Amino acid sequence: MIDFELDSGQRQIKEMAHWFAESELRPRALDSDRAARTSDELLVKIHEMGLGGGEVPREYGGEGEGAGGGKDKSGVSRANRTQVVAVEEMAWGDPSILTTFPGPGLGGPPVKMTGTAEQKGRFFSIFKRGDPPRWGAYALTEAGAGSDVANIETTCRENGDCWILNGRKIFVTNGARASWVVVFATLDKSLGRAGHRAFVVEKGTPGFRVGRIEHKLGLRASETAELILEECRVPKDNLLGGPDHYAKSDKGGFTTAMKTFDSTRPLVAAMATGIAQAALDYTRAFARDAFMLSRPIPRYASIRDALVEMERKIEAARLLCWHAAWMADASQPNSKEASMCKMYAARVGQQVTSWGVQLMGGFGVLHERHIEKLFRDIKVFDIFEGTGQIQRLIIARRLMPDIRIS
Amino acid sequence: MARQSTADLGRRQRPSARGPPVLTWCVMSGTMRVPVNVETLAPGRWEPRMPISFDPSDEHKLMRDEVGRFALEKIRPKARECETAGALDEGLRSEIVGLGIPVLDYPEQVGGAGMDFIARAIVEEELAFGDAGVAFATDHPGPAGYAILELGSDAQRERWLKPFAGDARRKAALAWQEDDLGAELGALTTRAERDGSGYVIQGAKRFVPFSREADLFVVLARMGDAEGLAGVRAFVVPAGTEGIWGQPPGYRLGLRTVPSGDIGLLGVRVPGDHILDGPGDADGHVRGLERLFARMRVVTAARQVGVARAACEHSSNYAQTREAFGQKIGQFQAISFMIAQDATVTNAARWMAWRAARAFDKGDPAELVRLSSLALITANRAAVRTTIDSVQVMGGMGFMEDDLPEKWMRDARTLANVLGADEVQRAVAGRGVEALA
Repeated sequence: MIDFELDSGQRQIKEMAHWFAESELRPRALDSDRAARTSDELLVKIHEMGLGGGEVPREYGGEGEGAGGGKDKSGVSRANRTQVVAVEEMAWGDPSILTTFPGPGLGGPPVKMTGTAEQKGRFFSIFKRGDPPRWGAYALTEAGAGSDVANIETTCRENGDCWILNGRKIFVTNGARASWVVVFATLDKSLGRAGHRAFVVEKGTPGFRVGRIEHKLGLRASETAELILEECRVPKDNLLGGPDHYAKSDKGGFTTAMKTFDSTRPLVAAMATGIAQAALDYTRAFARDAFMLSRPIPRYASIRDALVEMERKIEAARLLCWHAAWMADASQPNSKEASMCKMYAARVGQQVTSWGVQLMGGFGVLHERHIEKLFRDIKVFDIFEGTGQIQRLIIARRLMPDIRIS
Repeated sequence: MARQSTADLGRRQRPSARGPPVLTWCVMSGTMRVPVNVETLAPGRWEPRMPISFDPSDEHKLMRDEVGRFALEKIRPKARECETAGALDEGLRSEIVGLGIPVLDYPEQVGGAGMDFIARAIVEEELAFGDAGVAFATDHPGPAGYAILELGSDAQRERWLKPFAGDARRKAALAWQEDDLGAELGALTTRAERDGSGYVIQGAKRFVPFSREADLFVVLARMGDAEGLAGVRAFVVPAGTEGIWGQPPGYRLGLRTVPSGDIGLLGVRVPGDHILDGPGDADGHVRGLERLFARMRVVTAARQVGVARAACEHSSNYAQTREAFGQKIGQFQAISFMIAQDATVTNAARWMAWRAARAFDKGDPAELVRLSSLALITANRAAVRTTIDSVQVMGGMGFMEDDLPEKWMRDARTLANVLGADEVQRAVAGRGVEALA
């Protein structure tokens, strides 16, 4: 039965997220952008409210799927659908601060999906509410391996009771503050994807250090770090999934990375949708206040048309996110839909924020109006978690599997 | 006079020694019958007065090459530094002023080089190709100077424009924008009244470049009861005149090399000869204001073309060097098509800017407003699109402050707003000559 209503539990979560976004995130958005950090006081508050970034399964002391989890009236899980709704509201508040939320973050899905029970226990246990805020992270990208994930050069070799890792990872969100980082390395580059292994490298491991922290166009409150591994000795127990995981499948490491994207892409798309919605709201409010002249001017019609077009695109983006999330809840493979919503929402976000700056004229470029910050924040959404170009490739290949699309 | 389209130009200007043209009917494609002047079909009889040509004069080429080289070698390396400092490197400005660039299209009587407006369009593109912020920040007397040129008497021009020639420290600002965004000059609230032998000005202006550094302001204010442009007058207000004060410049998304802030005018008194009164009648005055804004649009469009070209070049070079999946990323259609599209709209924008500049030089008032508005819209879009793409082509690296694409993206978006939103430009273009009000 087709429906687009939220159930009462989801509505409550949406309202709570919106309230938090408006009362806690919005007032701090500009300062966080200027200072390029989130205040400790807010991070503690977020952690204590259990709003952490990334899911910590209940059996390891976390919220699990939280109030948004469980099953809907037809008996199907609703966790993914609830998450896209909640994440959109949070990003509407401030996307930059959202990426700094304590929790396992992007490191969560690989640990949850491929970690042994012992590893899950060990790595998820550090996010308990009573403890100080902590972070997990995910290190895959390198200077020579962005879209071309298979090309990573960080190496790993067995050495007695540990593994030795060498390499440099870049653009790691929360990489400097993370208590542990999921790091992808290769046994031998010539093996391609079959040679990939995922490790959990803990902060303080000898040979593991933070390099530079990036200065970025947008998402400036987010910590983006370079991580350097020099003869880094990682305990054998930190090979994610243990040796068995790789014995089972030829491309265990690579598959871990890719499966993660199927669950994170709709959330990233939901963030982009939230940014776009915020941009539209600011622009609408501005148009209402600024064009209050006593006589009509011809350009009002084109402004109204612009606002309508922005709204239409955002609605479409939102529905694509919901579709991908609904499929995930129903345990249907959703790679194509995840890529569709990610590609589309990022594009809409760019269009809407740029248009918002344009419509606000000289005011649109001022910091206090928020809109130019959203214009800067949204750009990376067409780049990380797979560029828009890669998403189109994935979609095309799924649509036309009988030909070789490059 | 009905609007000319490009296609009409040659036909209308054709000399006709044989009396009025004879119309005939021509059957086309079986369905449409179109009236065609038979003389256009006869070979050898059609001589357009202005043949289509994209070939700059030798003088233009010289300027383009020299300024282009200067932009790449001297301006580009300092772009980031100037932005961080929020100010133009004074050595750079001295060199640019030494080349005579800021006054190149001013009459020789006031120290200019007497070049045409197309020369200005060509040079602004090259400067902005180096850096848009530097191009903007070097431009003195800039729009204020254009206002004096278009609206001032010969005596006023000489008095206020001459000091700028060759002076690398003097600055000027045109204060025209208010809360009502865009070129809706009919709705200005800053007012001027006669006060004895002089005038008193009261109001507030927004987004004034060099609000705290200008030596001289030209302020647009309403005076009297005439509607629209006819009711707008321009006043020269030297910095330090009592009652004029500039707010400290604030943060902007881009063009940070150009400090910009609001100014207040509280009972500002200026002598009687500070009202720009070159044109003898109301009509001439309106034409002058139209020319002023047309100039600003074309200059902005030309700068956007420069920014767009820098972005295209960067994307193209990067795509031919960066490798992924065993080949150069430019070999992927997703990337190559993006770059092809960007180069195309950049070219279109340049031709639109040149077309508007040419109409300006020919003194064609009917076309000036329309063409300059359309050129600005085209160039703004091209610059915003190509600079966003230049970040995208670089992937994650493009999002970092290490390289210039992210700066170009911010500059293009900011520059696209200095004359108001595109929606305003479209409304202006749509209305034609009659009203900017």
